[in-house]
Amino acid sequence: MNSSKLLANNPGWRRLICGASLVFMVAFMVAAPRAAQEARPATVNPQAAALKGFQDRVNAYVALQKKADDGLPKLSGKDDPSKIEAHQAAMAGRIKLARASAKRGDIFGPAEPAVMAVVRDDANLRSLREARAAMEEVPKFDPPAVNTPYPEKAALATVPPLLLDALPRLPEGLEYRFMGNDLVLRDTKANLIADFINNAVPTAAKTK
Amino acid sequence: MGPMAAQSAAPAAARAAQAAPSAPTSVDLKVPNKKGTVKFAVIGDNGTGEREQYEIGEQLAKIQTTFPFDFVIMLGDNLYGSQNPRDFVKKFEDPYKALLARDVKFYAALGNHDNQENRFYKPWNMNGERFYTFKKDRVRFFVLDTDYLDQPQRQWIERQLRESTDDWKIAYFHHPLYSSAAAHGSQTDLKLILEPLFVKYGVNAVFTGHDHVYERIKPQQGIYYFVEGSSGKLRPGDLRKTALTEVGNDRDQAFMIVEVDDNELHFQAITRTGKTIDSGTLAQQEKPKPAPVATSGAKP
Repeated sequence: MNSSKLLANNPGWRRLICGASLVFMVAFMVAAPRAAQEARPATVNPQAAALKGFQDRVNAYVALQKKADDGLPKLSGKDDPSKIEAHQAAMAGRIKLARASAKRGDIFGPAEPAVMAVVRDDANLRSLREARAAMEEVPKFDPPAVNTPYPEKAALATVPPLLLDALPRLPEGLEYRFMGNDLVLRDTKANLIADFINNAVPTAAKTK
Repeated sequence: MGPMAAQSAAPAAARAAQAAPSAPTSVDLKVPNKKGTVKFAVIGDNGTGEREQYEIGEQLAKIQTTFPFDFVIMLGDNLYGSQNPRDFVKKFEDPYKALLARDVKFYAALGNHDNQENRFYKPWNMNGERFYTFKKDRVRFFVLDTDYLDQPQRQWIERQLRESTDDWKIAYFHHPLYSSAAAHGSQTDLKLILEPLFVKYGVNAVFTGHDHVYERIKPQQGIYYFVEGSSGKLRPGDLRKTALTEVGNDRDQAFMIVEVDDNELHFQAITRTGKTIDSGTLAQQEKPKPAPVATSGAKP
């Protein structure tokens, strides 16, 4: 007598097999969709990933800034201009050395289109007159270069606060500035251009 | 060679053509000058290092002997152009030498031409901060960096205004919420963000610079606004008087003196030649009533 016949002919076993079969079927019904789902790749919001990457690179820059500040005489608010000048120059020297091979895009990276979209959307929300007025104070300089000083005699054009709200938040030590038609990421302690986006200013908002 | 020495070397004809004599004339004080009041001076957009800035400095020093203000508020653009140690001497320490020698304190706001690291400069009493507050007797001053009004700063100012129980609240910063000057004018974003806070928390007066003119603005939602951006820089002809304008001047560099007593703010705007271009007394506004606390209405 083979085992299948043994099972078929034994009522207890039949109940056990039926029960087990039922459990197995329910388990299969639950597991199958989950397995199918796990087989599909998880969808990722590419823009969120790009912005997360930007934040990570910004934080890395600020960590570098803190490291550059280590060992330098601290500014206290009771300082004379020589000390302020020396501190800024020392910070700039150390960061330039540490980022000797830095190039445009190293920090903004894949977030550049998203950031440009924020600037464009902000300009679209303003009247043409207001959009141009916001850009009028922007110093007209030659295109910036990464790891070079923000021009000493150039004014720091006001960044409209509502635009600041919309842009990805920056930690202390970095700020957004417009320079010509470009959006610059400026190191406020070393007065260096950390990165920039070319032609970030929408055409309609550009001034002569 | 400083600016005054450079002037004496200029050809006589050019000197004769200059607008006004350099020696300050006597000023007729229009403020009460009572004991026990808070007295201060106001300068904005001053840091040129040029002759006119020095003349303003001389006027300030002269007036201080009769109207003994013990501090000056600076509305930004404290230095123009290069900002190395020599520039601090030429564009700040020398023009106001007499005041500094008398221990008059300066409290600066940052403007768009200022190196932000200058917040560490001791004589500007910023204590290394871009935005800060300080108190003089019955008056609390709130100093902002409107060049970069980010969220942390906005949260800070709202908290400070909310928590302040001072009699008088005066805010000052570089960019004007209201201005009739052509070069810059009223700053829309700032107005949208700051004005509601100022109204809600009872700011009495706001001083700003950036436009190189003097303008007293008609009260806006009960708040008094002044533009004083002509204490070194000047844009002649830039002021188109509008419905905002109470009094304006774009013909000569100027500064202000202010006296605050229990319930009035007295002011006088004076040119570098000692001419009064504006003066008056502003009544302290009623404090805004606190918002009612919601209750369930249930009887105890």
